[in-house]
Amino acid sequence: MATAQDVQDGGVQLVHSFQDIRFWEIGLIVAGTWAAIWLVRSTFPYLAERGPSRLRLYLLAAVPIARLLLMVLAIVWIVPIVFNITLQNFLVIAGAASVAIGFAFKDYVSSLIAGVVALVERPYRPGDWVKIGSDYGEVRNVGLRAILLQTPDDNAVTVPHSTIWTDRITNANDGAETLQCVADFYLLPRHDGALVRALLKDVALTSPFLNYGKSVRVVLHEEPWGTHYKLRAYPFDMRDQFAFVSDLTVRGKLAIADAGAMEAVALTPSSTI
Amino acid sequence: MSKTEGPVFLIPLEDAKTPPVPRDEVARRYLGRLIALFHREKSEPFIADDKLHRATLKRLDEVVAPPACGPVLAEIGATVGRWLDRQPGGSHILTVVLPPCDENAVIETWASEAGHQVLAPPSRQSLVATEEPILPDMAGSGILVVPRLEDWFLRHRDGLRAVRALLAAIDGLDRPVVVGCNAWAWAYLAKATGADALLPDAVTIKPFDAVRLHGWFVQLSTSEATGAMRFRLPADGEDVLAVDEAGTPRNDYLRKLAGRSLGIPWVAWHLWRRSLRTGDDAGIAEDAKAAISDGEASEQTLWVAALDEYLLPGSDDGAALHALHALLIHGPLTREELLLVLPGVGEPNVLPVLLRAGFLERKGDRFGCRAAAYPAIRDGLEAAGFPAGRV
Repeated sequence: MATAQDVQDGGVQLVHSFQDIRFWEIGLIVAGTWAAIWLVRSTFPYLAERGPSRLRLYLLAAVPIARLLLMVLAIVWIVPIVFNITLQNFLVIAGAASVAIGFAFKDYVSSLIAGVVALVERPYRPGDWVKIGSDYGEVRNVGLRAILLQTPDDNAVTVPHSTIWTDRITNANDGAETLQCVADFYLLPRHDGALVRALLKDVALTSPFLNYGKSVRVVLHEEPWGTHYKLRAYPFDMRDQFAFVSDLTVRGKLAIADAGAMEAVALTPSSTI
Repeated sequence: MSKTEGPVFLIPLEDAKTPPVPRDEVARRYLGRLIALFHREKSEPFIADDKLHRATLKRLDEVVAPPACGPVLAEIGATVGRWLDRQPGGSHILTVVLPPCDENAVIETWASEAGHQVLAPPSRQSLVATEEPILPDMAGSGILVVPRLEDWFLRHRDGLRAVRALLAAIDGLDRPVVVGCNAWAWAYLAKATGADALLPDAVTIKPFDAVRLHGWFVQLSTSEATGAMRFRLPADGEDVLAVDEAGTPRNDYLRKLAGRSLGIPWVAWHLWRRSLRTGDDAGIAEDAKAAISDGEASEQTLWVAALDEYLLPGSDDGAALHALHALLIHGPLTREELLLVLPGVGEPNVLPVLLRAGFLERKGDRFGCRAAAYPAIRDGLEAAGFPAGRV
């Protein structure tokens, strides 16, 4: 049973005395950790972009995990240098930290915790193509607090991890090396559906971007104004998805014209007047 | 000499494996690629060609004579003979899938030498015509040979009709048919037309490992014209064609060559020719010179230079990779035909660059991949994620 004197001593020794703290060692740990994180953040994406395509996602995904491990290692290393770690002191520190976090840094810490959860649950990984809210893009970086999305229009969008608590995350490839692309075609009703379907399938099968290991499908749906065709196929490199869809669309339009079908045109309010 | 006895047959395509490469070569290769990731400049030539043409073409033709297909013709003949012996009962179609860059047209050469009927392909331009394809008359008896299935299509939205019609017609024939196809075209046609289901049980050449290469190269270099030849390494004078009692090459060079060439005879043949040097003492170690003086006076020596490591542009050079991929699938194409099968919208013309770099060769108005560059092209395309042929 701890005496009052013990408790008092423990409280006094919560932090080591100033002259006992090896600041040079802390400085080295911080600098070393920063350098290691910088090296990982610089080297891995560089290798991912220039190395074999099949290793790209693994290398990108390793960055946040390596950074988290390095930071945990640094904290575990530094804390005993500064604090006198006992059960009582731990409870004191945890209590104080909880109060401070609860009042001042709630949202920030929520994002930090969500970041750790995201590393485990993996709703997104570096290299994935995700849609969060109205933003669609490639996850270029998974930070401690937020992720960085690179949109097709070359905008960088920062999305805090805490978004995973409230918003829907749509992941187009979910860690896979490819994703489904869809080219849409809207045709007036009077045409040979079987012929158009076959031609559109050949359009996908003759695309230079096609992934041979995945299926090609043409589905259609009748609408009051005509027929909506969807040409679904996979590129071998998901970074080519927009070039792939453009290629399918351009050649699909030519194939539709060859088949004698007419594309539907939506009438704008001004054109109906 | 080679330990191989009796006829060698083609093997099932799914059994084809690249010959193993010695560990030091694997380590050296990966280290080189890692260094290249950080150091290679875009303007740097893709192939280090500074040591080429040291041996004269006449000399090379004496000691490493064409054609580059080696014993493959005989192996095709043996395999077809065995297949015919099993008729009827088996499939009436034998599909031979070969590695690309087959400049000797081995299937067609074999068929012509054996006197079989060869089915000529339509012109490439006619493949994309909107009319339904008209197939040549395939009636008759005896073996019908379609030497290059890749000549029957273009990867164009209108370019698959002829090959589909051909496959359907072949399926309905009641005579034996031998269909040749390059491995990259085969991978594509399996996806685009289901060719692997119509023509199952494809076979390919047995990979040329060090022992097979040794037997072939010894045969090529042993003639009255060449006299007694020795192929020595400049570093220590070791004879790369020397074998132990078991007939296995003593030196690692042929194992490296077999691995580097992916077991493809025409690739190995080109790399072997590229590595031969004559005369010049520069760069030859004293040990090597001593080895010559220890040999017989009548011996002639050719020096065997180290195999170059070629590297393709990275994945950021998509236009070049797409062009190379298209040329592997189709075989040699004209510039206009190539444009039909590329995604090109405002793409730069990469053909001159690839020609200068040594990846392509031009014959008339057609551009094709060079056999010696095929391993590098394959590596580069696989690294960039392009779908590849089995061999």
